[in-house]
Amino acid sequence: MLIKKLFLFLIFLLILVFLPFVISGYWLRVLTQTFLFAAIATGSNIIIGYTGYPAFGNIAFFGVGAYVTGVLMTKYEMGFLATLPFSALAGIILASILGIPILRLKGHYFAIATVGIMETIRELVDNMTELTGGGLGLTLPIMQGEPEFIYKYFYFAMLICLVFALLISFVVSKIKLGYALKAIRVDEDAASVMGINTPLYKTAAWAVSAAIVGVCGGIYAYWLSYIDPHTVFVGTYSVKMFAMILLGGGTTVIGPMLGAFILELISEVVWSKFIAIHGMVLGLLIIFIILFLPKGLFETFKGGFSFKKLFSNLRENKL
Amino acid sequence: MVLLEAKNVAKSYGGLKVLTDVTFNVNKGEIVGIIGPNGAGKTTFMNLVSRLTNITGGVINYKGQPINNKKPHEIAKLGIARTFQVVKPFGGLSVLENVMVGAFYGKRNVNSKKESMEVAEEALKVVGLEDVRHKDPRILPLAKRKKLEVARALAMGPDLLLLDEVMAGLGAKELNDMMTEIIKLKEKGITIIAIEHVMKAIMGISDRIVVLHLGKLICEGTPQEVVKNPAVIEAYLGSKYAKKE
Amino acid sequence: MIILQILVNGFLLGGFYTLIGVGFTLVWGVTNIINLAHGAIALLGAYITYFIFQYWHLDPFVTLPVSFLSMFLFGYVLQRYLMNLVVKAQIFMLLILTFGLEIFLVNFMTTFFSADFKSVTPDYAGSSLVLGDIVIPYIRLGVFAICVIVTLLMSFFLDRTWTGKAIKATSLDIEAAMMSGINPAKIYALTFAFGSGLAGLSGSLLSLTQAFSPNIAGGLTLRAFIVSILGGLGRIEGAFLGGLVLGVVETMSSYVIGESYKNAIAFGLMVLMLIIKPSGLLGRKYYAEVKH
Repeated sequence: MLIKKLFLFLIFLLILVFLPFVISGYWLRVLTQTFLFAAIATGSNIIIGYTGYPAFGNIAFFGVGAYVTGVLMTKYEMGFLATLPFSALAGIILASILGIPILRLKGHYFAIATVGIMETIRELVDNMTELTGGGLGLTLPIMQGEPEFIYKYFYFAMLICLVFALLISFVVSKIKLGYALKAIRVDEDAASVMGINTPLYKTAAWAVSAAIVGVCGGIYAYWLSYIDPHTVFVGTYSVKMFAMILLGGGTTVIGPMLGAFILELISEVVWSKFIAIHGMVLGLLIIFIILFLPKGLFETFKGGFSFKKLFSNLRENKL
Repeated sequence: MVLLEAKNVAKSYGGLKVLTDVTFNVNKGEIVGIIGPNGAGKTTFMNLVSRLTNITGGVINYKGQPINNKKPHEIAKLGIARTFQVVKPFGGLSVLENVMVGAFYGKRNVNSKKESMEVAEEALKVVGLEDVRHKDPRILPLAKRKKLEVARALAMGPDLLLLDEVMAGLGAKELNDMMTEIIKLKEKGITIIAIEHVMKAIMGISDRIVVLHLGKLICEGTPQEVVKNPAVIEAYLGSKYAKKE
Repeated sequence: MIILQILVNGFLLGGFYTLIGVGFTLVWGVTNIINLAHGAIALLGAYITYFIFQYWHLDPFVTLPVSFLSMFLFGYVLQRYLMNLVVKAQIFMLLILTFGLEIFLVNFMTTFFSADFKSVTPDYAGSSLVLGDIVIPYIRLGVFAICVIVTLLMSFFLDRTWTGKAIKATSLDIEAAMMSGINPAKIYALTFAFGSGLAGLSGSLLSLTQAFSPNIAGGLTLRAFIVSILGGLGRIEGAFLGGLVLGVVETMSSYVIGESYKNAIAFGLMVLMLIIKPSGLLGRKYYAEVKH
């Protein structure tokens, strides 16, 4: 079973590796963006899906990672790839410091606390003008080379990042730690009397997820070559990421990635046709997912599509 | 040898006293039953031992050391395992994986997946759940979910096992099975504290009985002594009369 | 004397924060829904006042009932025919649902009303009450008075009327409420209607005191949230305290540390409150914990 899945995944990967040589620059960009979201969703899923902590403001680590890369490249003249470990480290440190107090909170309180953290960090970055350029933003060194090459470079950078994220997520789900996280998700009291040091493991899960999201931010910063607080600390990204996790299914390794592919590609089709109402459609899409597919597309339609299944969530959760 | 020692243990929520001045010992290798009408403080006592709630008075010693300031996961590592009255299986993990969690993080603290699987298989065999090892526990009937709770606790490799109403709601045959299993565990050297409503069962397996009533310990002794105790009879009859009004 | 002026400004702002927080905390306390579209609904109210003022030149204070009632209806329909459909799902599902709604409403407003800043400026906008060194614009005073009165009325409504008592009963124990013949679906819808109505009202008042655009919706929601957290969930008097604290802290810190740190201070205050005492200044144990 696992072998078969792995085989399918390798074929999928192989297609993605050869794709850049046949598609246009536009689609290269679209796919790069899709990989970005897929990696963010896969990384965030470790805390959200596995551990059951709705880290609504996980994009905070994305912003921090972007700024770490940006600042290191502009102020300290480091090479792009050399900055990425620092982006990951920044996420790990931040999550470890915040983890103990914040992960005591449950449900809404945790979700909103993470949003508060994101907003606070954004405001701080906005005000640290000396280092970050504040509201004026930060212009990164532009990559040298043909546009064709640059497009492909970021395509592969993002793809590798995604594969890494999937690999980490896969390993976490298989090792001892993964069992602790899944136990915590279901029942924290039961998990703790089983001997699971819940604060420690929750923080570890958050740190791993922060590292992945941080690296995504770093790559994004160099890709855009210009960042400001409002382009990297984006509340909408959080919601999108959440919708992707839900759509694909948060208890699996590849669910969030599939969700990202579906949502980003739909979003792109809508974007190019109806630029004006893109945001409205995204809002409706999210409402639709929560109403009809909160368990994910694949879980809901296991064993074939039917309209009855589409309404099963409403039957279960109606007041 | 005394394994667990409760000295003047008290628990209150604000002004509400749930347990007052509870003192008794549990010796290594025995089965101690805790009985008492609803609201007696039985589950609260168990929560205090597993440290899910704070002890507000007195001290609990385990293997001679106070555990008042320990965390639940530290308690587990010391060799205390428990089940829950309202069963709490980890849905989404299979029955086997549920038990593996116990092996991974309990006193055994197994690190390899293979070894934890072996431990889990053995624990499943003890309670007779091998057939459903790959099922999601949420779809199992209550009796099997209660057995899963026991298996999960066993996989932790406990010295002291706290059973919170594992026999409530079981049919006659399942009840007998569970009683035999508990006695088998005792024979393996595991000390057991059991809370139970099913009087016949608890009287049948316990070496000693502790009776709680309205948060106080009103009687302690062998099953034969306890049933004759006037305070116990009054506590039970009293509560029955109170219900009728 | 500047301190006194800052305090007065803080209280005036706090009155507005109270009103935007009351509706939010009510909905949260009763239905356990964190309505992330609260700010967007408030802005709909602001646009109602703006358009009525723009086209019919009606005094903005006169349009308050209009925006209250229309948002009340909007809220009722929203809860009855959308939120109630999935209200028993995991709580963060509803969080995302309301966020989806927020995205929809904000983009709706941007598309049809444009992202430009709008403001409502009646003739008397410039005049102020002068008490010694302290200057209080009449509009802000009026807004403050309305905020306080409406908050008191809401508190009175919850304590003294049957409907209010039914809402409170539902928030305390939904099953017991059902057994005494209360239809929770209706109560939820009614609660959300009141929450939205109050949001609409506060939006209309906002339009009088500052320029607004669809993009400030998120900031408004977060402030409503902070007020609820500070005051303790679902408590009207708590929202009053939380609103004033937030208003004063924000105004003070703008003066002491700088205007640009205003938001960071507000969010920092919220995170700190969540860490130290999640039940709020006046609150008891919070819902998530009790439920657990």
